[in-house]
Amino acid sequence: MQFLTIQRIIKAGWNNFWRNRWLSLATISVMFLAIFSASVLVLLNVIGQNILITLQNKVDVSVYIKQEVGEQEINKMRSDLMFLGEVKNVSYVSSEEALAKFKERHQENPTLMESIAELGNPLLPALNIEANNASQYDAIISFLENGKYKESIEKINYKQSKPLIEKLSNFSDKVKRGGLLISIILAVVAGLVAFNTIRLAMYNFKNEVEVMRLVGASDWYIRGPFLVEGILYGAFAALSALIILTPLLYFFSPKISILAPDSNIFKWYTDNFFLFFLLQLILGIVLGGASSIVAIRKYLRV
Amino acid sequence: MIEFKNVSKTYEINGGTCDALAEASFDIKAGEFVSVAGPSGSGKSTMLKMILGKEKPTSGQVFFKGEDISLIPAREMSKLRQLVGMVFQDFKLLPKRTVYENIAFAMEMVGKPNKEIEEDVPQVLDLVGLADKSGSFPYQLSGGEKQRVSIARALIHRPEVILADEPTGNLDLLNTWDVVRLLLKINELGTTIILATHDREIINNLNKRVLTLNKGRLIRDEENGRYIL
Repeated sequence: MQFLTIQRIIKAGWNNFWRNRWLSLATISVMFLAIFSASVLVLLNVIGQNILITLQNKVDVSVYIKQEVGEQEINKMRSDLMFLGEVKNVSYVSSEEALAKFKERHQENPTLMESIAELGNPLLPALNIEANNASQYDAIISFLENGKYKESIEKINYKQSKPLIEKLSNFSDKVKRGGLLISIILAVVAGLVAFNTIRLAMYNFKNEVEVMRLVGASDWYIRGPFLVEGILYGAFAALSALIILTPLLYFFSPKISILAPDSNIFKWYTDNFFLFFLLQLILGIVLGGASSIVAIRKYLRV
Repeated sequence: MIEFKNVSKTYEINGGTCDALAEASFDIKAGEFVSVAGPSGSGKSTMLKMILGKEKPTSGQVFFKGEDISLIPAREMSKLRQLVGMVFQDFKLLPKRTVYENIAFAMEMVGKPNKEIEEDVPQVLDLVGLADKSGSFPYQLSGGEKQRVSIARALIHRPEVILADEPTGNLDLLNTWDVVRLLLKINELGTTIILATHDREIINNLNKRVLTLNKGRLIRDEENGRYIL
């Protein structure tokens, strides 16, 4: 196609877009809703992931080691644990540290303090293990219970936290799967609504297409301006979604941080700003362009 | 230039059939002014639509410059339509484009350079007497003006033949004669004109060749014909 033709097609598309401003505005609003809700879904997924990660980080397993086991042995155990793929971090709390922490926590309880002073240090040294994923604790525990360190271990507090860990791991899987499903359904609904809106907008041009056809315009010369129009709808819708979303996130980000302390959604957004906008733009353009082409195809058969 | 060979067109309606055109044969030479007469429903429009490639004959062949129109693939159809200008009873202007743009459109799609468009469009507007309406939109024009825009558009890329399907059907007497005179003028400049009309007055005053159709049959083909049924 010649440059002149492309230029004319773009100009005609822009004229259609501008001279039917109200129709364009209505179509853009619907597409805006589609793109906006898709964006919100993506952001909700990110927030959800952040909350889960925060919760998972709070869960750990403490392994209490017998008093007589030497520090060297404990260090060896620690490095062996670190070597496991499932283990994210292992921290060592010696019995002295544990006592200090205990005293600090209960300094307002004189009865406890007195009995500690009488008993000496009853606390055992412990290894706190964090797994990469809540579902991996089972494997780590079985490594400890059945391996060469069996004799050195006094007690593993896993049993107490097990239901919590399992629930969390279960919940996180469900949220991931459910979120994906809901996202897909909503995206499809939004896409269909946008598609139908464009189709209705194009219905107005039914007669125009016939006229163009009868005075001898080629397929692409007819389709071109409508394609340009559809792309303009999508681009403007993506742009408005961006303009609305940015201040919203700026205001709500601190509130979300209360819920999930480790997440700063606005920072995530600004870090991924261009990628995010690009995706919105592509979504809008593909949705608008494809809808136009499909909608106009019907009227081209004259 | 245009040749119909035993052309029939049958539409199926509610299980029955209806002959819009039955075994019509005739040919039209370059530069002729031919009127197609007949009451509504006699097959005039069907005949013109076949020359434009919008309808295909059920049997028989329609040739344009020796080429069988029904064998032209849909993709190539726009090339045929660029050689044939068509004027419709309901004008068929693009409502969102100005008079100038409506006419320029016919030139743009054949890839004419901007300079040529800027020269030709005002000339044609002058010819049809609408030089001052260049920036108006179709809804701002009267029926007669719209039809003249439509003729200007059909004319602009210098087609070899202009098909006019009841171009005066929506116009009053004064505008009707304006349009007919315009068509005669275009014919004098060398373009073949095929005018379909049921208007007895026009046919009887033209003194040109007349093809008379009735119920799909070509019942008369006369030079300097009159409207007789």
